[in-house]
Amino acid sequence: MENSRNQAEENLRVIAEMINLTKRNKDIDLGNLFLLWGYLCVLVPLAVYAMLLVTGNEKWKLLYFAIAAVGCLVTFINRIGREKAVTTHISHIIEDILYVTGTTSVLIVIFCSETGFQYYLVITQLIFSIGVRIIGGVLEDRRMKFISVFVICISGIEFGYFDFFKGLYTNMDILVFACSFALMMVLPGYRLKRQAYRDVQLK
Amino acid sequence: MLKELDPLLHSQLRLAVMSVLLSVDEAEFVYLKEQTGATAGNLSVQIDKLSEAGYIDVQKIVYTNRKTRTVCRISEKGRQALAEYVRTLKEYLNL
Repeated sequence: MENSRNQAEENLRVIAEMINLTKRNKDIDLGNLFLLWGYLCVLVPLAVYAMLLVTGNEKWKLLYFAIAAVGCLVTFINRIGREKAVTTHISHIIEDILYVTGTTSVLIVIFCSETGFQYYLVITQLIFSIGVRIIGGVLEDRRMKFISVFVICISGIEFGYFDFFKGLYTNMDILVFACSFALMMVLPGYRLKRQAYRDVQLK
Repeated sequence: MLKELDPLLHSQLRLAVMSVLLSVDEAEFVYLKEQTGATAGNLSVQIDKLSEAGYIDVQKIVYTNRKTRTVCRISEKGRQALAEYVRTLKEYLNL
């Protein structure tokens, strides 16, 4: 009788542990995704900013395409080893949102570099902040929702008063872009991972 | 009188597999192996048993380079069986 009871308790523990472990892995994967794209969207613009400041050569702006190239390459390499190990309905939705926002942003940068339209960073920032707002809604993450709405407002103001913004400081739009992604993606990425570890007390 | 526990789910490895699949849409064999810490052979046998009982759907995709990818999904029957199993366990433990 006591043995059966122990076995029953043990089995309940197995169910809870497996569900927690799976949830933790999903959150860590999502956190890593946010960190990868977040850091790329912060570091590459900062590199462009520095090169523009040093050389003054506008061709350094082509480096923006490195965000998409490096991001896709790293994601692809990561998947070679593990294929797509696990999928959930939420991960499908989030990947779709990031795919649509990312592709649209790349198309906008291509279009703008062809036509000389200067608003591409602001538009990209706006598109991503809308994407992050939707992800925040899917994950029911209040802080993510708040930060993305804040970036949407900043982008709107920047879009409306673009010349004023640009005139404030040399290439101000690049710095705002980098800061927005640090807020929207890097910070939530770390928070998601920290939360995942804390939830199962593994840290 | 307490209900009898489903013997198919009473094995810890099969229960672990079902629990992982409960919280995802689909999971690969490699992922299940990592999560449960089981050997490939043992896991394969247990997955076959769950599949035969109709608790999970198993899809084997063979690539041109002869690599295979096994994807598992919990079925509605499996979901109900696991829910029933947990209910019985709770009754058993007076929770």
